[in-house]
Amino acid sequence: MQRLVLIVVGASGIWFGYHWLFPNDDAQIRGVLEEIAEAVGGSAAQEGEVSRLARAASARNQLDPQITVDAGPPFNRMRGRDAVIGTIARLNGSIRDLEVKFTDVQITVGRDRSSAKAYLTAEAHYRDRGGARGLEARELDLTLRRLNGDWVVSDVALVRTLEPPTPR
Amino acid sequence: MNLPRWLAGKNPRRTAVRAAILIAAAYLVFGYILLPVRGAGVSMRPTIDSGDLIFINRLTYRFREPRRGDVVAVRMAGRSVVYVKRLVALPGERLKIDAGALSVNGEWINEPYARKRDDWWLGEATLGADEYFVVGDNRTMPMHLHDMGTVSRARLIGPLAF
Repeated sequence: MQRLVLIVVGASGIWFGYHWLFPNDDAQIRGVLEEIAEAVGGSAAQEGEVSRLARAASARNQLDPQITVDAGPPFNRMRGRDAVIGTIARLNGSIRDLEVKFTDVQITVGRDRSSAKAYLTAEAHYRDRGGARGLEARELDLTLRRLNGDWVVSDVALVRTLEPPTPR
Repeated sequence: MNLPRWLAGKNPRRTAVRAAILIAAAYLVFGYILLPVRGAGVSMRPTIDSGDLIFINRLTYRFREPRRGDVVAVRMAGRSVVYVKRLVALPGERLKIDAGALSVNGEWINEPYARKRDDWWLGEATLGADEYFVVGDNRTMPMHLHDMGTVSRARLIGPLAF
């Protein structure tokens, strides 16, 4: 019995160790998304200006230099990594205790393993002016591609859950 | 290995069986029948407030079609985060909102849950074959801050159970 337990524990250890050392595409992409969520939100209550900007800039390695972000009307389509990082920094400065989470993440990796799609719900938890906790959630469609061997987000598009009715 | 009595009870075997049944029942009920949802936001006030715990019946729409007046959960990318709204118009129906009051197929709908109304306006529109119109009960908030609109049948998880 003891030998069996040892074998199971050992095999589990090897399995987890292998996947930790050599993560598959799905795990790598989830890691990229976690890094982005951390850069956008995750602000400490007393965070200074410099560390806030540094945290926003930490998303640089996860974003395609030519990234496009389409948040739908009334926002304009955003192009370029620097513009996105600038927006992240502004968001961090203007929204109190912003925390971002990606849930229900569904990843589809292309056959050539050079592109992928991620469909998810982005949750933004924050504190409003009165100090009450608030939550905004939006569906996003992300396109990723490999850049120098690493996955980067190249396109972000908002998916409208509730569509306005068409006048007819 | 002997477990302490407060954990294993008088009869450890019976306690283990009970625990297993309880875990299996909870898995079935909350995995396939009831979806627990914690209210966040003010759009469904006064019916549902921020922090309220509600349960959505995931089986109902397997046995009947969605009805006007149902409080429904609308799925997003999955079921971890959902919209909870009032279903007010069905496929093929004409709707409009004037001064916060809802009209469907030319008749004003009595909505006792929407006690006060802000000056909301939505031009008349006819819903498509797979379009359900959902809106929150809180008509006192500014319309531009309120998420509402049409959803497909596939997005409707089920109505409020309790």
